[in-house]
Amino acid sequence: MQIPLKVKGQVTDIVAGIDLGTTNTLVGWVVDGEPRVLTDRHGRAIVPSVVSIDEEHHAAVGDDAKARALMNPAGTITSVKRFMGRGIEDIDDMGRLPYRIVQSGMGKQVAVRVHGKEYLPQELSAMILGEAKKRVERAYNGRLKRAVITVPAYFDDGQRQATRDAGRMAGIDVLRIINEPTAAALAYGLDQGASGTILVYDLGGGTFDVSLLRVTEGVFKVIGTTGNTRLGGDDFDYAVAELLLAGLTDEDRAAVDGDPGRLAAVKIAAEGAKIALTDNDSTHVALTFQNAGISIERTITRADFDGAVGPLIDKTMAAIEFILDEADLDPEDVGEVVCVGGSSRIPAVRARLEAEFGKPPHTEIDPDQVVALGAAVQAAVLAGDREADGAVVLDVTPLSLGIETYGGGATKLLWRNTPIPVRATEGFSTQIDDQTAVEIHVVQGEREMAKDLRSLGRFRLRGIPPMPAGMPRVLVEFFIDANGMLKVTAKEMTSGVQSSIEVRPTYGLTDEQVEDMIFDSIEHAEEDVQAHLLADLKAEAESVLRYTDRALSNRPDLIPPPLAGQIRAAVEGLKAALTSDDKETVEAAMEVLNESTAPVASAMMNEVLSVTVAGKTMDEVMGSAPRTSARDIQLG
Amino acid sequence: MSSTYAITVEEHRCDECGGPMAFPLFCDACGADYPERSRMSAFGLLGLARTFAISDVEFDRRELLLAQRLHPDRWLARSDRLHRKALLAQSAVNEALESVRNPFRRAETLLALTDEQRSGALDEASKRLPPGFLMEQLELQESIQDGLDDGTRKALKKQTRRELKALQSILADAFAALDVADAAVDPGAARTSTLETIASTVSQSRYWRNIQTALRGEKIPE
Repeated sequence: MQIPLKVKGQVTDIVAGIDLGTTNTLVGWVVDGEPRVLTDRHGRAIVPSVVSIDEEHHAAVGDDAKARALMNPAGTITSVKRFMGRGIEDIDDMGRLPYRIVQSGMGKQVAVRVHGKEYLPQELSAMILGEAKKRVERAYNGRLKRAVITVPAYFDDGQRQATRDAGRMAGIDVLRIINEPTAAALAYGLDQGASGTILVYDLGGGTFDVSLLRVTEGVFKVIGTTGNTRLGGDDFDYAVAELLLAGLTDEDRAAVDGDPGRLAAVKIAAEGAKIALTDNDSTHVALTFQNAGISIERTITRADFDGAVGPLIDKTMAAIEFILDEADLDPEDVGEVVCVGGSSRIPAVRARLEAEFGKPPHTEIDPDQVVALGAAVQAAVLAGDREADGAVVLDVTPLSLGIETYGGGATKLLWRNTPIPVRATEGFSTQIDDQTAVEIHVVQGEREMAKDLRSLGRFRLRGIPPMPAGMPRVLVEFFIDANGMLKVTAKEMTSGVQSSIEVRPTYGLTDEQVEDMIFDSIEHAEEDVQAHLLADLKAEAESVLRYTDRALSNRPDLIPPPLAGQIRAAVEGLKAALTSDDKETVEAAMEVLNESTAPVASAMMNEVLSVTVAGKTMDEVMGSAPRTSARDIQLG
Repeated sequence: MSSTYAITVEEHRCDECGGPMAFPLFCDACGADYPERSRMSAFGLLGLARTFAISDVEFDRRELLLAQRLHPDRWLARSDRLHRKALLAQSAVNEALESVRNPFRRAETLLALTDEQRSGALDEASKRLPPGFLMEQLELQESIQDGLDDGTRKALKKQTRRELKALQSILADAFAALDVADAAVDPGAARTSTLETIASTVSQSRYWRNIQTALRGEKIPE
């Protein structure tokens, strides 16, 4: 493995592919023609997609944020991706979230209210992107200015716009928003060069996606894509949890169901069992709730598990049938099947895919990294990297695009799976004499009635010359660019007047609003990199010191005295290092402190698990849980 | 009597640099654009003969070749102006492909290019459907709306595919016959009756395509 040499004073230009995930964020980069996932100075490839904001509105991101969840549950935000470009009516589990979701002051989109201040999902995502950016910039002594960011194929226009805006706020020039399945295929395609049809099966923590691509001579063409935003690894956990709870009496069952902490523990045990069953034929689960006097003990076999999750796998297979049918293809026509997402590791899933397609699915690339690797390939292509030359991605729009018509119906202008970029035009006129403005409601989705469709925005055409009703001919052009994002222009044809157009995105920000929120980092982009890095590092150190201090005084129960002594010494060491203004010295001192506090952080994290119920938090923890075949969890 | 039948595809040269153009709206060699040519037919834009007999492979080949030259990703490192031109060119390619790639859309597009269709001379023929056809279609649509069991749905899907394949082969034969008729000294009656067959077949295909859409449903089964 070759990493560019660190030459003092020379700054590397990192053109990255970023998988901005619900649970974790990963950064990929093509080095010497080879895509790789970048790690930070500690060898960590993953930035947990978690932001924690304290009372003074200092934000911690990633691992630090995760560690603060216990002290600051209402200020620690997980799974922010779920809220990108969404409205309050889209969130159906608000009561279960430990943090507060509110209607933002900007359009219909939601915000998270933390200690009296609102944070938009774009801002929070920008913090995560900023953290990922900072980590790789430090590790590679480089600048990450340009990147490709991935989104699920089913993301609508509002969600894509929000993702792009988050990138811009983090000071990243977003070269392209690319679909996750396309990225996965690219990761595999780089060394294949062959032609054929690829099916990408992406079963993540909470969502399922299936896409068909055709590859010919380096051109990747998305033929179709569909998905289920409510099907994923979490559902598999709930199915196993049902197995665990099945033997309880009604009374005991009610005592578990009525207690979020207990339910969370059951889900953790279920997820542990699921993971254990990837490599084992059976697993033993023992759960005791001492206060309630309930104990659950059960051995779950692979067969039990397969039986419980069978209906869920059936749903994914139905989606496969749907997409093949839509493309007029039979399973035999599919040349390769690519697995993405942690849940695609489940043996029963792989077996069903093999049975359906008559060949084992591709699993050579880590299903958690494959998207970031593919995004890196695309970033290299877009940046004009010669070694990656040749690959072109022809993408499609995942959802139909239309306009609300009189009476609440909708006229489709562009159908789903239309190759992009593409243009569609529609003529409008006025309904009353001397009408000088027309309002157009743009909607996205497959249903018939506008109310069932996703509202993208309202466009108001002004400046139409006064004429009798029906006389003006306003031509509205919808243009979907290569990112799958919509732009609208309008012109009154009879007079030739270019109507001014006022865009009010339903779930997003206007360009001006984004400009206002762009992080200060951009203003300082031309500053000396080293000075900037030192400043960042110092800020991070101050923040670590603050939290360590708080942990020492608030949770002495979690810190055995010898460890507390060690931590105090490390704190003094870091404080001394901070006065030196030397990057390396501060880094070294911080490392010492981080190492000494690591056991405390994980102890706190374990405790957090029993008090929060947000689904995604569990996932993150299980990622680092030992893969034992027997789990004993004791909780109150 | 024998006749030779030749298909000519117009080739464009760039006025600016004199080179051959893969796509008539935009020269990928020098960046000159020709928006005034955007009224050309989809076939002309794609550099394909104005005929029904185009294979999927041929479409794939054109799409690839054009994407490799025009796709905006290839122009990202160039000026904003050139990138914008490439973006427009690629979207024009996609629009053109959409209107001719599917055989039934292709038939519609070809039909729309004929004088007979434009003058309304084929309106009657479009409404001419086999006896009982409309009734059958109505009943099928109703049964879909009422909900079908899995077996029936699958069987109907198969039937729809079969019907569409049959209509496609009627169209292929008819367009071949049309080419022969046009090559004759006096196309006259042969041309008219063939066009009428095409118009009626296109209408029937629309009904079956609607059935196909209805069977697919609006979203994947939950």
